[in-house]
Amino acid sequence: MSYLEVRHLSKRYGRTNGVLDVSFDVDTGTVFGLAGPNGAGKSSLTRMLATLVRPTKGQITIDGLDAMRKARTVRGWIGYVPDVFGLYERTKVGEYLNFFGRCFGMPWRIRQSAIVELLKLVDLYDFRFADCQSLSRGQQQKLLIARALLNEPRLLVLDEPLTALDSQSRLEMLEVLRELASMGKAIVMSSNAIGDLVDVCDRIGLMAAGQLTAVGTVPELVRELEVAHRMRLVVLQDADVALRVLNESSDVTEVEASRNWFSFTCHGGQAGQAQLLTQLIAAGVKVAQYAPMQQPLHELVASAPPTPVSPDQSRP
Amino acid sequence: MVMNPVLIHELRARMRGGQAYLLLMAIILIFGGVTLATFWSVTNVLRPNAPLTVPFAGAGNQANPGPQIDRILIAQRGAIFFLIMSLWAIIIAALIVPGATSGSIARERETHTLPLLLGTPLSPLSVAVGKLLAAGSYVALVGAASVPLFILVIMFGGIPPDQIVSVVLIFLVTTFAFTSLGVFISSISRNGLLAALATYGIVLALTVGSYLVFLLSSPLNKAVNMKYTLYFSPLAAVMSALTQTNSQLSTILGQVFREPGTRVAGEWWALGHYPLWCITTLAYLLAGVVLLLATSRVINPLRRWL
Repeated sequence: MSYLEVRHLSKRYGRTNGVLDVSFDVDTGTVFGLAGPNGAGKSSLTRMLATLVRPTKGQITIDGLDAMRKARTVRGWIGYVPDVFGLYERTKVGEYLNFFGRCFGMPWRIRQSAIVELLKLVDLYDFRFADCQSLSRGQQQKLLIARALLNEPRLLVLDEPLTALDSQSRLEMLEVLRELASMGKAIVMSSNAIGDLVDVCDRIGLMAAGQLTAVGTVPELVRELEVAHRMRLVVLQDADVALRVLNESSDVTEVEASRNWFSFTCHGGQAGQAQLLTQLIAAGVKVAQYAPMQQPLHELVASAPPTPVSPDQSRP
Repeated sequence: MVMNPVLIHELRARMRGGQAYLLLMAIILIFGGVTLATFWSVTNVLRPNAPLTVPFAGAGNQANPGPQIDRILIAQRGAIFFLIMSLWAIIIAALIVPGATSGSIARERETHTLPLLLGTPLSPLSVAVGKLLAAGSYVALVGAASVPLFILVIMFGGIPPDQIVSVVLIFLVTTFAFTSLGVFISSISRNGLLAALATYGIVLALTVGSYLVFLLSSPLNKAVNMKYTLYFSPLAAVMSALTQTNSQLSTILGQVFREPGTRVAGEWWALGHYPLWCITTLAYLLAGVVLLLATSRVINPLRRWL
């Protein structure tokens, strides 16, 4: 049994499906990323995980408990950072964390030491007496992350937590997340920039139009999405024959040729690539090099057609 | 005892800065002005051998003082003074509460702080109670600061302790009900301004509007039907509480207030069997509780009652 289990989760807003039949599992000590464009349903999904929105259908189980039925219990286990947030007026940074510490029922002594530790972690210790509203956007985001860690949650649900951070802070925060995962926390993190997720997530779920279109580790996703792959071909001789074979193949587009060197896009996956190689060899072309050119995951995501993932495919 | 974290946070934020104290000072000054004016009226108008009309109104002078002030009025100076002060206290509470409560939840929704609050193990009812107590505390502070003004009443005497207790109870329950109403409207409003306007409208309609309907209908001889609007008004409740055992005051107020019910022995089920102030106080108390529960349901993201 995974720590977080999501089964057939759907959320309907009027006639629109915000989230449609999403299922996935997250174990402790792992980071699960949710990537997708704006409007894909990431925020709706994270709000349901944080028990702030009731799903239309489906179930969320956290450590064996139904999150909707036992919402008050599981909220004590969750640290949530929303994508859109505000801070209280006329409240100091330290008071802000103190307030939420009280809301989580933390005893005074534990609360105070946790606040000091977290403020130092997010580099806000020197601002503990400053008004929350006087912080920069990035500092406010860090404060939200500190707030989410206050109750030592077992599950972190982070909705675009790196958006407002500069590159240095982003790296530091990713390091913190890796460390938190190594401490046994389950982390669900969403972003519309998949590059943010690639380095830290163990598994990534791609969302589009409320549905999960692909789930897996980064290498798995790359393999799955490499339907159209950029290839490199180097021949020893008969370059014109090779060019003719490429142009005649229905699986090949965007051919670029330079003497004995060719690059082209091969559709049809590995089967298409194998067939093309067979055709080149059958035409008498002496092939010196025939290999795929590595594409970053975000380029693959941008070019891949969205196809919903079945619940079985989404489990680790 | 574990204090409500929302209450502590709200009180701290509310009393930070000079605004709260300036407002408190302004309210006390206004109430003090009203008290002084009432005191002057009671001591200069309602006195033996005083002309019936005030000298600057032009009627009556040293040579022709006019008719004597009725002895009943003089005997009831203390009660009249206390009555006027109590009515003003209710009105001031009605004017403060909407402003104190309108932003309690609407503002949190506007500034996107509400989801973080509701994402903690605090129950929505705790959040609603915290907001209510924070707003009510400010009104209670105003009330406490006004206590010295009421001590002037002691100079005149004539107010039994049970009537003082009744009036205090009416004030507290009215404040509770109005605060609950304000927090509830704040929870269903898009923004604080709409919440304030709606709350002011309802509170003033209940406090003053219902009483005005009765007053305006009297000359039309429709008071028999309109008298039941008095049940909605805490001003009428105060008059009812003070006239229960004071027939002279009841006589003085005869033109502007009368108990709607007729007490018939044995008919315990009839509304009119009980004094108006008991019915109104109980109704306001129940309404306050219902509105508080309704607030907890509205703000509960999972739409449960508690």
